[in-house]
Amino acid sequence: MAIKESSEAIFSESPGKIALRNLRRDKRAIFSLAILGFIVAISLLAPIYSHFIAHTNPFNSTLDATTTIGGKVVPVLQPSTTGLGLGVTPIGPTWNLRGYFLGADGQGRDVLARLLYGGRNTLLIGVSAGIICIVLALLIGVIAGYRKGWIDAVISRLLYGGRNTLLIGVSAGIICIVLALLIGVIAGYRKGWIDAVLSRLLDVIWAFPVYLLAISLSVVLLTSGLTIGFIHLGPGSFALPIFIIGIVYIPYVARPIRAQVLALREREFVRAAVGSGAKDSTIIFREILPNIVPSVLVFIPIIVALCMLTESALSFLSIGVQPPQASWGTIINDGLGLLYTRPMVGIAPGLLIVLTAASLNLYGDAVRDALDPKTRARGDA
Amino acid sequence: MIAFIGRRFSAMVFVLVSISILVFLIFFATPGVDPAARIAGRNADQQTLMQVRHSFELDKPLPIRYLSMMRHLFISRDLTSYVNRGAKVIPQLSQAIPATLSLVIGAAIIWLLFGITFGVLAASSKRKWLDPTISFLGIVGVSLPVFWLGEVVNLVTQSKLHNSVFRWVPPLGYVGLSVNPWQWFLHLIFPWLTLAVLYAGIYVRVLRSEILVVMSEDYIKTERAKGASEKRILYKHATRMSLITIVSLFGLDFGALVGGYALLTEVVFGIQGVGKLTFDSLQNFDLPVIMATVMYAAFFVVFMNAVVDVLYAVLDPRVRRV
Repeated sequence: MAIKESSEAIFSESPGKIALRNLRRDKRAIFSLAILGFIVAISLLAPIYSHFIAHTNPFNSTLDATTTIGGKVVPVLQPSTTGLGLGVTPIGPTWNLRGYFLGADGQGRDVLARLLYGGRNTLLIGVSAGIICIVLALLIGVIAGYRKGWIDAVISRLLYGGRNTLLIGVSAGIICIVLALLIGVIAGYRKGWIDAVLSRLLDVIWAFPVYLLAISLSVVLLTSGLTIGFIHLGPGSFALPIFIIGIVYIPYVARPIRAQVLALREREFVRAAVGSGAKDSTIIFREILPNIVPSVLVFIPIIVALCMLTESALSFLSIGVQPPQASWGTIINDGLGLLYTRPMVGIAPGLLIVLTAASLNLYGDAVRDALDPKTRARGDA
Repeated sequence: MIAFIGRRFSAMVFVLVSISILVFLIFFATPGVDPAARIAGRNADQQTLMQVRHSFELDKPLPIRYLSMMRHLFISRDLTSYVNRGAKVIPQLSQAIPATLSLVIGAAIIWLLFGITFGVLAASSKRKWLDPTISFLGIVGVSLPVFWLGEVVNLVTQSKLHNSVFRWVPPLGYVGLSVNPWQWFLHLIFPWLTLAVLYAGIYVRVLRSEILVVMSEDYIKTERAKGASEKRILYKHATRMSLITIVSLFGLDFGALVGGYALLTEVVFGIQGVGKLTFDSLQNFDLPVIMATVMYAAFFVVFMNAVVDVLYAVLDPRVRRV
């Protein structure tokens, strides 16, 4: 009797369903998803707001624009009254959705409209970079962990030098790729002192700070775009920051995945599949990948948050999204000069970044706990 | 032990040389990028381009240019800026280093202090509300863009409240420690706090979960069975073991700080450090300066990693043979 009951319990629900149910019960998950949904929705509605409600174009500077406050028509850029009275001060928040809800920036553009458009760009870059990062990392991690042998040696060396891979792949050239491959192959085959020397070489790239690498690449690529063969990416293209940021973070994801694949490979069910003569591709897709899905799911929100923060930092340094396009980072940069007169220009986008990134991280926590209730139990111990 | 240190530091030199080649290739060998066109400005004619190439030695082969740049950077130490011709890079850099080190070290002391105190507190406290609060603060810390936080801090301390509550806060900038220690402290206190908030949040979370993991180990059970007090178990065993993780995390974070968040903090607070120097030279594509600052930051990272490894070997003799 007892056995029958417990076996029913096992068959009644798949682990995925249990996780989903856990997630649905988790207040943090609901809360963070609601905030994310709201932010995505208002960002997608950006054109509707600027065309039909505020009637402004957030990409053109409108130095002579006017707006109505309390029935009176006032210029958006008012002559400065503080200090020497030189220059102009943009209008402050009107708290009226019909225009300049959060005020205007130094060029008379509606901050709220730019904020919504900027949100689209920040989200787009954050999510695409995150996805690129995770897909590539998954690919590398699975192949490295599954193949072991020299392929693993090459790939894990490349991962240790993950930022090296980035440099090689995105920018400089075939010289580096050939060298890195050569190094990996020789290190994997020869071991001994050659391996020791080459491993040191790979520490190199591990040692390269992410931000500096992203900054160096952005500086170079954003001034003239990237040309590899027939492919030309213009300096204003979003593809550049997306690829730079996405690739910089690959090692963060690929290394743990590789370690996991390595461990999975020794499990009985994989061995059984190998023993029964299954093809490599079958084993990878049917046995190994489903077992990595949970950790990938946990990584997605966290990596997207990280990519978004990096995007805004690069844009803040004016080496991410290029004007006249906006992102939350560029708007914070615009707000730097207006900090003391019109603080909302700088504060609003930052609040949105914190809100979005915190929601993503919170959601990541909730997903982790839903997939693996043990971590939470351990935390409560 | 000495052999281990020797090996570790010779490896460090190797790593640094490789990083310099990498940086050089990014700047000078990226397909489609021509530094000469950038220096000469938009719409420069062919002849100007040729002249620029010649006077900046851009017409020589890559390896020769690399060697010559390294010679100027490290041996004769007279590398000159592309933008202000004649301005030497090394003095600019060495002037900027104290400011950056002051910022980074001060912030590190603050975040370690907060991180360790509250991490231990969170792990040992029985109070129900403390744990979610700390997790929440940790999440906010990870999600805060440091440059934005700096702006908000400036807004609060330098604007309207500057005449009342924050009268004692000096204007943005940096005053050397040797010039006026008190002013040095006042100028840096808010940048320190801004930078530390982020990491304090992360360290509290890491330390807390590490302590809880160690607490469930068998040897802690043995201690309990022997009748050791909970206090002794917490401090003498759990916290001490967990600090090893913190030490290695700290080495990596502290090194990476120079090229990352410290740069952003310096820009926002107008501190004339290495980060600000990098930022300024980014604006006008001053390659030799960027090259020098990137090398400096990379050196910092590699050095800190080596120090961590040696510390590890001191703590744990098994590592020495690797």
